[in-house]
Amino acid sequence: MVRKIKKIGFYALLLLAALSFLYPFYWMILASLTPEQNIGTLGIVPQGITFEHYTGMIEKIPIWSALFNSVFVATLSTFGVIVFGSMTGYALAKMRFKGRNLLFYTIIFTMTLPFQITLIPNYILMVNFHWVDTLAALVVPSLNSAFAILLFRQAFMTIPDDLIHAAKVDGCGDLRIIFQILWPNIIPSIITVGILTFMTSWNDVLWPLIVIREEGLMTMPQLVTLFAVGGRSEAQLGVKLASAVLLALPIIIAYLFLQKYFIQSMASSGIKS
Amino acid sequence: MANVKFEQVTKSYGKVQAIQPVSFEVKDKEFMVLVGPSGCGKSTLLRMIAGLEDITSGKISIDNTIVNDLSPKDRDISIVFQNYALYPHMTAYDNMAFGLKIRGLKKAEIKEKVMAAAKVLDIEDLLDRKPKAMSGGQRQRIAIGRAIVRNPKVFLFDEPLSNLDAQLRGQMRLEIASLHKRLEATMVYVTHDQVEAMTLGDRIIVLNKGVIQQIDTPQNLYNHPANKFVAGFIGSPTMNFIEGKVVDDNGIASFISNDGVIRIEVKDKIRDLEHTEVILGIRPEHIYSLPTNIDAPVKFTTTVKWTELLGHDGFAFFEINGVQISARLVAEELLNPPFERELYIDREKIHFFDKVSGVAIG
Ligand SMILES: Nc1ncnc2c1ncn2[C@@H]1O[C@H](COP(=O)(O)OP(=O)(O)OP(=O)(O)O)[C@@H](O)[C@H]1O
Ligand SMILES: [Mg+2]
Repeated sequence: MVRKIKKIGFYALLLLAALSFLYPFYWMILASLTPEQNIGTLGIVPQGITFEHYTGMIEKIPIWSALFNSVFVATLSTFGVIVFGSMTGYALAKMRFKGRNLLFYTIIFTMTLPFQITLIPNYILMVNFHWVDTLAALVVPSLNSAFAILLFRQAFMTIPDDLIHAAKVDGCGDLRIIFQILWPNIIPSIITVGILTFMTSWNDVLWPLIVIREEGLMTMPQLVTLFAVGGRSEAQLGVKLASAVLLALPIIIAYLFLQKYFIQSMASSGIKS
Repeated sequence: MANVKFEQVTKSYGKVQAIQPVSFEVKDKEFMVLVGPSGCGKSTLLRMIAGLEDITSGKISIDNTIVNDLSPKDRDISIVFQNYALYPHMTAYDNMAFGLKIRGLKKAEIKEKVMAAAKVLDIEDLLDRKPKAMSGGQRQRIAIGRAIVRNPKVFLFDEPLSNLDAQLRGQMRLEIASLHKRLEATMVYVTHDQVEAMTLGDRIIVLNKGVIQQIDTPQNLYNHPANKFVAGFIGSPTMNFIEGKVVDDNGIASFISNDGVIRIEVKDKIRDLEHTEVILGIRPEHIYSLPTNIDAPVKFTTTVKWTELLGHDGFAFFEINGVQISARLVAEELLNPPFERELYIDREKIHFFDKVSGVAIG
């Protein structure tokens, strides 16, 4: 009996916590569909449904091109990080060469540098490359990441050398070994890297704000931020909320599909020795 | 099919020299076994043949072509590993077909080869399974299948049976032997199990600390070990070693153990070694309880301290020079230790080794 009560209490607590997380989302979505004058008094119950905030948003800002830019940049850098990260990780885990460990520790070290420190040098680099106001400035610098390298290296370390030896004798080169032999055996790591990279890229505001000024090249979060904070919305709360919903939507959809891996990646952070 | 030749090949890992200069030739169609204790460099040597390990100096040739700079895929070899090393995400069929696919063979041709190999190894009903769904023995069959489908010039095996249980190991050993006969292939086989070495090898290379100790047929290694290391390594249980001196024993050149228990007349070269310290080697199976059926029995008396019965026969343990010695005797002789008794050494079966260098004398 006591155990049952304890259990009920526990679940009630969990429910409360879940609701407190979900409520803002619910409210945001609901409010984005509620006429402007009702938003101020909106609680849990819908007070009229309208799509005018969405149509308003589409009229006022180039949201479709921003959506395209975001998808383009996030997809490309995710792809790049998975491909190049696993190549680097493979070299660090399975190839023998002078300075391998030094290289690895240097890469790890860069993870400890805060983004703010490299911001200005990176910007200057973009200027010198004439990449400012091009999507290259968003994509190229994020085609590999220290975190992904670390994660792939750890994953490859757990694969026995003989598997690679067998593949070499069978006629595989290093690239085929990585993509055809090793990849199928580290799928959870790939998905972890993929999700985290995509999210990081998708949510990034600061870097795009610095290197992109042309509206047509802006990413969603950048545009939405400018729109919401920068006053282009003419202080209409509903329109701001509509753009926020659009910003969150892809991540929510991705989460629903990849939930299992997402939790796994958060639980382990992917790092095991 | 082809030969494999090593000429003054060495291998260093940084400052550690894992393989001292080695030279040998594995002849066409020969089954060569590489044995030695753990860490002696067997796998390194095998991987150098495969091209999975660079060599530090020297020349390796396969089929009379120098392969030093050829990558593994161009050496036309295949290799079977101790832990199978099957591709976990592929079925048994795909594991065997993979190398052929990469080499661009047609689908029908691949199928024909895989099915033929599967038939030889009796694994036809496993082809749809992934490695995870197979037992160790089945996996090793698939791995052997993967090696034979390509019909390479040289087969390499790195302790392929040591993850299997004793019974399966015995069975697979026979199968590998018959595979060698059937394929008429050149094979190099690494093992630390000397039963495998003795039963499979046409010839055996005994390796210790990166140095070749002896290359010979199993029988010659057993009967004429080149040094104390080989003598102790080949044969199970291991050879007994008794320290002593060559002296003039009332006008007869004799070996006398340090404690004086063993006195054996010596001949030939050993005679010239008067007053030098030598080591006598005698296998447990060459110490007898009766002098009958021995050409040149040498009697000694000792106290058997304890015994080990293995059914039909067993081992008696006693001490000479304070060192434990074993003799293989029939079970009836081994009851109720300790006891005192006379034992006989066959003088024709003894070996002598230099006490310092361990090199065989005579
Ligand atoms: N990658 C490496 N780096 C440094 N030393 C190595 C490396 N690989 C092997 N060695 C050393 O070379 C020696 C020979 O190793 P090898 O693996 O060939 O031994 P082995 O005879 O196959 O032993 P085992 O029976 O245990 O498999 C060992 O002393 C080992 O420590
Ligand atoms: Mg080994």
